[in-house]
Amino acid sequence: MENNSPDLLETKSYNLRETLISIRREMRDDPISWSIIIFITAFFGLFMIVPLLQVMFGAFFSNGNFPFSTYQEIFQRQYFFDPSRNADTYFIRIDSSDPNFTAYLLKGPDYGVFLNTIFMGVASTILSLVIGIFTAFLMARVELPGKTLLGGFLLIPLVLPPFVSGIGYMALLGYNGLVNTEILEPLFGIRIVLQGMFAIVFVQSAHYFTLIYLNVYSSLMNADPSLEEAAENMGATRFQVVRNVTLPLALPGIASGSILVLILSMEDLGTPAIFAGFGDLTARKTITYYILSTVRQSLSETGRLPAELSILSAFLLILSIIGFFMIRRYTEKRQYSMISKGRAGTFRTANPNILYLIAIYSYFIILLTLSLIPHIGIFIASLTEPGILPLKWSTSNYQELFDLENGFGSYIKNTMIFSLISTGVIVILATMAGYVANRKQFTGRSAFDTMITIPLAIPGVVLGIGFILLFGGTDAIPFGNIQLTFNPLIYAPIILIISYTIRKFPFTVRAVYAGLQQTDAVLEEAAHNLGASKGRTIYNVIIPLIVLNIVAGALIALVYNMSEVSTTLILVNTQTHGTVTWAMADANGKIGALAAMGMFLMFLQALSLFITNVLLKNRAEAITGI
Amino acid sequence: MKLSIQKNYIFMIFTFTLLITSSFVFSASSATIVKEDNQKLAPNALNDLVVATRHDSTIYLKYAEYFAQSALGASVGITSANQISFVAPTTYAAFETALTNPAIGASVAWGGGPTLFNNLVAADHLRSINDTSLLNWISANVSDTIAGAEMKKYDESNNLKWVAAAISSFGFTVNNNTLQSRNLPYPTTWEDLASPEFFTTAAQNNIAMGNAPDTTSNTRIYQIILQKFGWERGWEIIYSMAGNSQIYGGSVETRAAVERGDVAVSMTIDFYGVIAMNENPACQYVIPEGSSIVNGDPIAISKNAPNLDAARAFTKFVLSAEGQALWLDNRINRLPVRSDAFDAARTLVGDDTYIVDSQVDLVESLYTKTLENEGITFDEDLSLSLEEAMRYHFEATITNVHTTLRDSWSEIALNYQGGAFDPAPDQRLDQLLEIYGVPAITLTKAQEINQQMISDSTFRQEQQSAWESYSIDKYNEAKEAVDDPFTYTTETVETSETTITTTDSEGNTVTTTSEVEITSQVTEETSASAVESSVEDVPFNISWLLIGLATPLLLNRLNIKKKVDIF
Repeated sequence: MENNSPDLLETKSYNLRETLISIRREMRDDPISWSIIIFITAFFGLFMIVPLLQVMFGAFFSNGNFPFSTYQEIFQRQYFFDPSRNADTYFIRIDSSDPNFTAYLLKGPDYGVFLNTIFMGVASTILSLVIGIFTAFLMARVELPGKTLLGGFLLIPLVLPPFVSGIGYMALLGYNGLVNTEILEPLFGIRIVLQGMFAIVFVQSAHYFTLIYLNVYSSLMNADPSLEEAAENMGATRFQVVRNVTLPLALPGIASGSILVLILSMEDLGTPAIFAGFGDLTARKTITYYILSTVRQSLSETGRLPAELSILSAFLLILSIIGFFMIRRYTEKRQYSMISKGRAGTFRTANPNILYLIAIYSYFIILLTLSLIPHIGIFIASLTEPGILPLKWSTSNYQELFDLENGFGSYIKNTMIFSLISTGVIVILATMAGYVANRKQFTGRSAFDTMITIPLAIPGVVLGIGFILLFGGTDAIPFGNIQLTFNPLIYAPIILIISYTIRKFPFTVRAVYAGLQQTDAVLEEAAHNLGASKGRTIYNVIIPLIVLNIVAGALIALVYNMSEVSTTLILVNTQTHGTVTWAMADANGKIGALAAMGMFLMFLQALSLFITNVLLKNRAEAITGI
Repeated sequence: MKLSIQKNYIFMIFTFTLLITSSFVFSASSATIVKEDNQKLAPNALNDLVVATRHDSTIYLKYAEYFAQSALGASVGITSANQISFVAPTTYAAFETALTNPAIGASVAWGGGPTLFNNLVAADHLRSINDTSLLNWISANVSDTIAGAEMKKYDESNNLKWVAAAISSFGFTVNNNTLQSRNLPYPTTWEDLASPEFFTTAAQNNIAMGNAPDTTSNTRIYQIILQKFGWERGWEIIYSMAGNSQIYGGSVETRAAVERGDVAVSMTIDFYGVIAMNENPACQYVIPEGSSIVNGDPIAISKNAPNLDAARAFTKFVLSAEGQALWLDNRINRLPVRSDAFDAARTLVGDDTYIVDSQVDLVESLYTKTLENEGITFDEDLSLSLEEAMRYHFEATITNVHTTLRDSWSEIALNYQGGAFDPAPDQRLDQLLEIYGVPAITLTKAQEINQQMISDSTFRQEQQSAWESYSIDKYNEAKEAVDDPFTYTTETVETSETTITTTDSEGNTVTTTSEVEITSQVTEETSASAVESSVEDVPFNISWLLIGLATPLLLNRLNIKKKVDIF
């Protein structure tokens, strides 16, 4: 728009010199945008690209050579790589040694650290896909009484704070959980226990299916009804319509949703960590948990990170980044041109008879029970005295929570301070970045766009390791009374806030971007024509138009900041800087207090999501960040 | 045009100012956290004192409050708790940074166990306590050893490096409810925990053990076992215990497991045991008979202490009777290093809401028990010389192969309980332990590779990999050996009387009758009938996957014409 030399845009040159010249011209033409671009690029360069390059470098060079022997040792060790599955495991075990019941222990595969991580991702994705698509179909195409209520319930799994999922799960579905001792054992004489990879996949899918559901649901609602009608007119059966018209229309949504779930479940640290905390040794055999425990061990002994960490991190990073680019490809394909613009007519929804209704409702009851187990579990645990049955109701857990001087209160204080500062920084930077990325045509725009959205795919543990490698040995720089340091060992909060800013940046930037997309550039041009300066235009026209999006994006960033796990666990080395999630990972003795903290996080998350939902309506993309 | 370009420049300046202010707001707000949190990066006034501590916030905030009120505090100008700031590093690297980096400038190092402090001494981060008055005061008030354990650490040139500010013992915590519901005997020694009698079913874990590389306190427990019983027998006991156990990560997790009642027994340091007792009254801390040690939990002064006087005063306060009394806060429950702490604490009852008589009595009884308990002589140098090798050996031969280990042990234990080893169950158990309980390395080898285990991660991978496959083979071998017939020896003791008639010097005949025990060993062989295993494994079958994949395709082929209401 502002570009005065349109011929420059068309010159696709890969010559470095010409590119530099064109950048210089663009800079002269629009210094404001360019100063934003440079500042944000510098910020991401220092705190994202360089640390990650450091990790990658460590994976491929050791003292200047390719660390061949390290690779050899890793891939020869069954603990890491065991495709033949002949080491230490069982798949399903039927244990009848207790006279009162037969225990079915379903542990699932254990192929070593590398393949377990991939299995965890793939299996969680498939299970989430099955549940998510089926649920979305029912919600979008079947007339159900009480649908609004159901829709609300289906959003609850989204507000699941880390770690607590495992507590509720253990209390209800564990070997000595209520479902086993109170229902299955007396009625059927059996106990069914999910362990190892099966348990992780179960907990992850019960949570992540919502992401698929939201994506598919919005695809289905946005599809043109006349397409389905046309197919039906041509004599297609209902099944054929679904298979050949509806599903293909929803495919981009399904694809991007499932790759998102794949990335999130592979880089998930909270679920393996909580199961490992409950003594499940297979849960230790995932890349994220291995990285965490090894970092903690080596910081506790020598302070030197062992060579295999870089290799594992690089593996995880490469997998996630490939996934990210696949999402981008599919989201670009997402735009189908519909015959009619906007929403033409409404979908005819099926009116099921009573038998189908019963079947559908049983499905929803089972689904919601399973996915809300953690929430129910921690709600009960937060209001009871720890340890002892029968349950004794008390509010002591909450009192402990809000004692700000001692114990858990300080963690809440830290969490709030770190998240709020980070959210503030995100709002300022993301608004500027979103504006530039949306409104300005410039050389390297797609690279810039990639840079500000890719943090979504970067595993937190990897970024954390990058920070330790890069800043671990640096000193503090004094600025008068204040000293500035990025070394997490000296003073973790600064680098922690930066890591929050980087990692949750995409959520806000996407929301801002979406807002700008809905705001026509004509409005800005009109303001310009009437003589308003650029600053005035931004202040008086653009900001008021997208303020709702900014607020919504900020809330999402805040929610995700408060429940950030991976970098927090790696970067925080002092109790005084512990956040809620840090304490949850370390203090799982105090189930009551932990549960109360979980409830607190859940409340804040639910509140933020509710506000976001009201502000953004049905834009699931903003919530999922894609 | 010119005007607009000028305006652009103005806006550029504006943007830059905005960016700079935002980054300043950002760093300044970080700095305000520093202030609010009472952990300044650098002490502003000379009076301020920074303490690096492994202790919990409950502990250090309490000490800060009382120190600021004390005469000692006033003598170095500290009259408000805000003048003392604490960093609480949870890792060695962070602890080291806190002591050495001038941006933090910690003057006092406090808490974290002797291993951590000995490492700090080795790395030369601690200052010798050479102030004569303080030195004399310490030797007058803190005893050199308690129950055989050193309470003061001297370096080669006999400089005092650290002093113990609290003591702790190592043992286990039992959950009486769980013991009862699982019909387990009440354990009092490590051998009780290693007995096949302590096994119930394959899916039920009765003991919680921590993975050695993840927890220093549990590592110490394993070291105690290895030193009390010797390397070979020690590992036999640890492996047998592991057969009855679930392996957890850190020591917090093991404690949590016994509090919840998931297991009946958990390895714990004493104050974790007391915490467990407070959280769940069914829990009880046990010092294993004749096989525990006392550890001093040190306090020391940093080598580059920016505020030496305050550091000395704080150290003195922590070691004073008044300071020692604070350990008896009912949220802390640590054992003091001075026995007069209990009386000092009783004078605080009423003034301090957290110091109550009953709890002081409880901790005092634990204190007496700890001192009475005949411990072992613990060789600190020996334990240090093989610590890393031992930890990773534990991980590779127990944690990483725990399913196989438990399968093997469950076979042994169930056969033992089921009478398949009759008539000589203990002999048979020993025979099987000769396969099951053999460590992958000898003691000398462990000492040899110890240093390389720390410095060379590729070497560590190689070793652990070899140990893992060795252990899997070993456990499987032991499991198969259970069914084999075995030989046992029965000892029959016959007593025969012999009468010896001798003539003594005086010529009298003296008849002496003595009883001689003749032990005859008979080696017999049985064909042992193994107890039938009640565990059945269903292996993964590829055809399930094929059926799963084929079903949708088949459904697709069916091409249902019939109209279904729902779609």
